[in-house]
Amino acid sequence: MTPDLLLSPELLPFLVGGVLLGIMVGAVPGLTATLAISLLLPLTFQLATAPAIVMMTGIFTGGIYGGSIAAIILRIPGTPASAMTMLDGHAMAQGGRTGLAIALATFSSFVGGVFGGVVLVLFAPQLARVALTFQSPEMFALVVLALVAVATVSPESLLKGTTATVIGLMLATVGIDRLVPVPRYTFTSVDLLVGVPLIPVVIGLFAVAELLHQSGEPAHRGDAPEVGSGRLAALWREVRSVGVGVWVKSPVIGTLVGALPGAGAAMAAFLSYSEAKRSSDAPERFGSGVAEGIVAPESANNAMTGGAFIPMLALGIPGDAVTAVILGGLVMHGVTPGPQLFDQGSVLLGPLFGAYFWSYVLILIFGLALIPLFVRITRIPRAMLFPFIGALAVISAFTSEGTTFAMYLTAAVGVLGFVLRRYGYPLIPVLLGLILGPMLESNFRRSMILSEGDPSVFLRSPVAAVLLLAAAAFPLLVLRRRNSAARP
Amino acid sequence: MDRLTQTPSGGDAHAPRLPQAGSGRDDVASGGVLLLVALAYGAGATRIPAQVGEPGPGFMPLTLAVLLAALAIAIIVGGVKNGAGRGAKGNGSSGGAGGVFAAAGRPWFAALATIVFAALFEPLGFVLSTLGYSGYLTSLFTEDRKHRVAVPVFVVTVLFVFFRLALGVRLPTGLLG
Repeated sequence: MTPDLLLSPELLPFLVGGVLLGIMVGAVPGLTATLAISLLLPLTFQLATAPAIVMMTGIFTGGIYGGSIAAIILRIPGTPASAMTMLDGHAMAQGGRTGLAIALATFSSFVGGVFGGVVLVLFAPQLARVALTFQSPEMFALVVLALVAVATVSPESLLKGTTATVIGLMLATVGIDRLVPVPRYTFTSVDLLVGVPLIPVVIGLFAVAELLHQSGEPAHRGDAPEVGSGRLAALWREVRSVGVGVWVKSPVIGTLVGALPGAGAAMAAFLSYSEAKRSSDAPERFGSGVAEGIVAPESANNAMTGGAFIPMLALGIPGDAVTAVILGGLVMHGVTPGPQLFDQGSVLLGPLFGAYFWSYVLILIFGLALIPLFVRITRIPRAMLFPFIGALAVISAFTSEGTTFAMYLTAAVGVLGFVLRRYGYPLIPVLLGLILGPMLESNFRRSMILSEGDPSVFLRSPVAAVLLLAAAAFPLLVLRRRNSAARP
Repeated sequence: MDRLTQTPSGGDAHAPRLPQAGSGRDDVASGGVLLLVALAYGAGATRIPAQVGEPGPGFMPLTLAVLLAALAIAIIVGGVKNGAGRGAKGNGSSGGAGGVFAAAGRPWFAALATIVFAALFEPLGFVLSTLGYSGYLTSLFTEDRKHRVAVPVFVVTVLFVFFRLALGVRLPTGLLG
C-alpha cells in the first residue's frame, strides 16, 4: 500500500533541524552525513521512533545536498559525492555566477531527490529484487564502467586521467586484504591495517591541496564575483537550457545506482556526469562552468538517496555508508526492515517517506533563500578564508578518524594532490579509484574463484557483458568526438 | 599590495603565476617519477604471500604496477615527442623572477606547517597548535600585523564553538589541560 506522505506538524521541527544540520555538516569539508547521524544517534534515543526517523532522513538528504555548496564556493567537495559538481560549479562561481551555480545545484537536488522518492514509494520491493540479481560479475562490470567513464571524460588527457585512476586504485590496495587476511603495503603501521581512510584523503586531495596551491599564488588584486540579479529568472533560463535527456537520465542513473548495495552517491554522480558529457553536443565545454555539469551529478546523487533506501527498507541491506548507519538507528528503535515493512502498512513508512519528500521541499526553500549568505563566503579575503579552511580541514580529519595519523595522512595526500595538479593530473579519478578499488578487486576475485578461474564468467552474464562492452566503447566514442572537434 | 584584499575566486591574467602543467619536460619528469613508483609498488607486490587458487591478494597490486609502468612510459614518450627541452608554459614575466620563486616556495612551507601542526596537535592541544598553525597560514597571505593576530584568534574561537560546543567533539587540551 502507498503510505501517507503528509507529515504531521509535530514532526516538522525535527525535519527542519535535521535538514539544516545536514546542510551545515555536508557543507563542511570532511564532515559527512554519516558522521552527523553517528553523532546524533545517541541523541535520538531520547526521541520516539517517528521523530528519530524524520530527523535522520533530514540529515541524510541535507548532508548530500550540502556537499555541493563547498564544492561550488571553495572548490572543496563537502562530501565525496559532490566532487563532480566541483568541476563546473566552481568554474561557474569563478565566472561570477556563484548564486546561479548554487541555485542550479539546489533545483537539481530537488528534482533528483523527488524522483528518487517517487521510485522509492512506488517500486521499492520490485527494484530491491532486481538489485539482488547483481552478483559479483555484474558489480565488477559496473565498477569498470564507472572507472573507465571518469578516466575518459577528465578534462586533462586520457593518459593522465587513467594514470590518476590507477593511483587511486593503488591507494585502495593498502590494508588487510578483504578476502584473505594478508596485510598489504601497511609498512608495519597499525593505522594502515584497515586501509587508507576515505575522509582524510578527500580533505587532503581537495582542501589541503587547494590551500597549498593558493599559498603559492602571488599577490594580485582579485575581482569579487558578482552575485547577479534576477536569480530565479536566470535559474529558469539555465534549467531550460539543459537538455531533457540530462534531466531524465541523471535521476534514473542515481536511483538505480542507489538501489545497488554498496555503490553509493559518489558513483551515481561520477556515472551521471560522464554520461552527460558523453552525450553532449559540446563535451569540450564541460569543466568550464556549464549547467549540465551541475545538473547531472547533483540530480543523480540526490536521486541516489531515494534509491539507497530501497534495499535498506525492502531487504535490510544498506545501499551505502549513510543508510548503513540509518539502518542501525532503525533497528535500535525497534524497526525491522524487510519485505514485511511494506506489507504492514504505513505506520513508520509514512513519516519516513513524508520526511523524505518534505526534506527536499525544505532544501529547495533553504537553498534558494540562503544563496546571498553562501555568495558572501566568496567575498571573504583569502587571508581569512584559507587559514580557516586549513585548520578546519586538518582538524576534521582528526575528528573523522580520532587519530593524529589521519592528520599526517591528510597532509601527505595534500602534497600528492598539489603535485599531481601542478603536473596536469586530474584529482577526481584518484578519489574514484580509492572509493571503487575495493569493490573492483573483491568482485573480480570472487567471480574468478566462483568460476574456478574462468574469465568468460564476465561475458556469460548478459548484464555484465553489456556493461563491459559499454566500458570498452566509452573511450572510443569520446576520443572520436575529441578528434572530430579538433578538426577544423 | 596586501593579499588580504584578495578573494578566493579572484584572478588576474597578468599576475605572475606558478609554472603550470603541460610541457614536454614536465611530462618526462612526472612520467619518470611514476615509473619509479610503479617499480617500487611492483616490488612490494611480489612480497605479498601467494594464495592457492589465484588470483590472490598480490594479483591486483601486480596488475596495477604493470599498468602504471606502461602509462608512465607512454607519458614519457609523449613528453619527449612534445619537446622535452621546452620549459613549463605559463611562467609569468610581469611579476619578475623573484616573485615567482618566492611564491613557489610557499606551498612547501605550508605543507611543512601542516605536518608540524599534526605533530603538535595532541602535545600542545587544540588551542595553542591551531593558533600557531592558522597564524602561520595567515602570514602567508597578509603582511598586516593586526590581521595576523586577529585571524588566528577568530579561527580558534569559531572552530571551538563548532566542534566542541555544537558537535560535542572532544578536542585535545594539551598544555592547557
